[in-house]
Amino acid sequence: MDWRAIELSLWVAGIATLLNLILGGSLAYLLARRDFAGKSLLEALLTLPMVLPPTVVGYYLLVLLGRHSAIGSALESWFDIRLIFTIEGAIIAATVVTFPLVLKPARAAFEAVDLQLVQAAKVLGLSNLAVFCRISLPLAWRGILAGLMLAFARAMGEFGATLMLAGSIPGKTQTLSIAIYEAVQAGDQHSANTLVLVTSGLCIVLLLLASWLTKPASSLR
Amino acid sequence: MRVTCAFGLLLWTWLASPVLLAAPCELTISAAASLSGAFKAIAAQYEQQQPCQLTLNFAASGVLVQQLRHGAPVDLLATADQQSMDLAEAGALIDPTSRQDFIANRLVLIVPASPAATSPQTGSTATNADLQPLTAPVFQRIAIGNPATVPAGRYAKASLQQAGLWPALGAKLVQAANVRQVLDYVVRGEAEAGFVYASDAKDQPVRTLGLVPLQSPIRYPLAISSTSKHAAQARAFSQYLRSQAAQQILLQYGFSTME
Repeated sequence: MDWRAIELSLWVAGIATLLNLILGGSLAYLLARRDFAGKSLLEALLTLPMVLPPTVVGYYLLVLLGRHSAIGSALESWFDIRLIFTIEGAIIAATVVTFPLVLKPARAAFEAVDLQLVQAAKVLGLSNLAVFCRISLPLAWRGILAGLMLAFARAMGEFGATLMLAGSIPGKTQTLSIAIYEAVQAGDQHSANTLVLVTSGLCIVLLLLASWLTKPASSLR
Repeated sequence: MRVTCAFGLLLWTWLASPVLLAAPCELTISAAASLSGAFKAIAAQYEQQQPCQLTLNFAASGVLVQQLRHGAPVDLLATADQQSMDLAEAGALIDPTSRQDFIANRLVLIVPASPAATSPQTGSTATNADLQPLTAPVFQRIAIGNPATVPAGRYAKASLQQAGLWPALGAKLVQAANVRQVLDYVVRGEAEAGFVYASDAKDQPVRTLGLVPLQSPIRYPLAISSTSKHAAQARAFSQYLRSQAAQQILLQYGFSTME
């Protein structure tokens, strides 16, 4: 039983979710509060990774970040960073694919915050930052958390984009889903069964946690 | 009366349609990934000569055997090494009397074509490649097929083990799902070197450093599946694969004649 694959999956999903909390959370707040030209187009582009097949997302990332691309060659020559076939590449793939899963619920949560409360706070003299920290965030955190749980579970199962970007290097980039795929390909039923059960168990626990955490406050008593 | 006649006609047509519309010959062929180019060309030629519809399925040989094991409706199996065919034979997936080798191939070590080159540089497949330099730091990633499922990966692993380099290179190896993916990694420059067949490296933007020394030559076997419903037609196609016309196409694609 190769525990390294589970470790890698947890690490990749964890970092990806954290990155999406920051990126998705801030963009969600922006989309909920501001109106600007091209807003719909931006929204469509940000939601794209969710509707595109993961292998397509992976291919885009491969072309954008590969050694011969503008970004890839710059990263390599300035910082000696290579993203393809690395755990960092896997994290990027997972982050991009799960980004819409954080953006949408977070935005919905921010939009559900009663504007009157926000306006009352401003009238009483709170700064924009204070409004965010003391009014919007406390009221929206459940929705954001639901999105984060979904994104984490999805990142645990990420396969197509990760395989394209990070390859399958046992011990370095071979995450749970890739390990399962290769075990099935090689006819290793035993490993495949064990890995599948572990993944399913983890995801069920996560989803249960998500639904428990997002129950309305009154029913928590 | 007319309604009855019309209905009768329709019914007869529907019942007879499988006979009326059926292609006289339909074959599903599972072939190793390295055979994709050559087999597509051979199939096109065969379909022109015979009223036969060929469906081609390409993947790593290990994967093909797994598909067959799980009930894939395949008529003919062509793998890139004897080991995969042995597995198929052991699992009673093929008719052992139909098993025969039909073409040979060679394993080569390739590197990305230098950026300055605009045309693919053919390397020296006449000389043996020296595997020692692969331990140098300039080779950060070396692509091989996953030895569990890809024959080319097994051959590469065997030759590296023979040269005593397998433990040293372990950390640098990137495993690919099939030999064509190994080629893709090297073409893209994401891997500094890779092990592919001479047939894969041909006419590609890569440089061949040389032949990889192996214990025994690489010979591709084919066999008719034990569950095939078109055994006679499969036999006819397997005979065609050994004919001059098909062998010529295989040689054009970089395969070699069996000694």
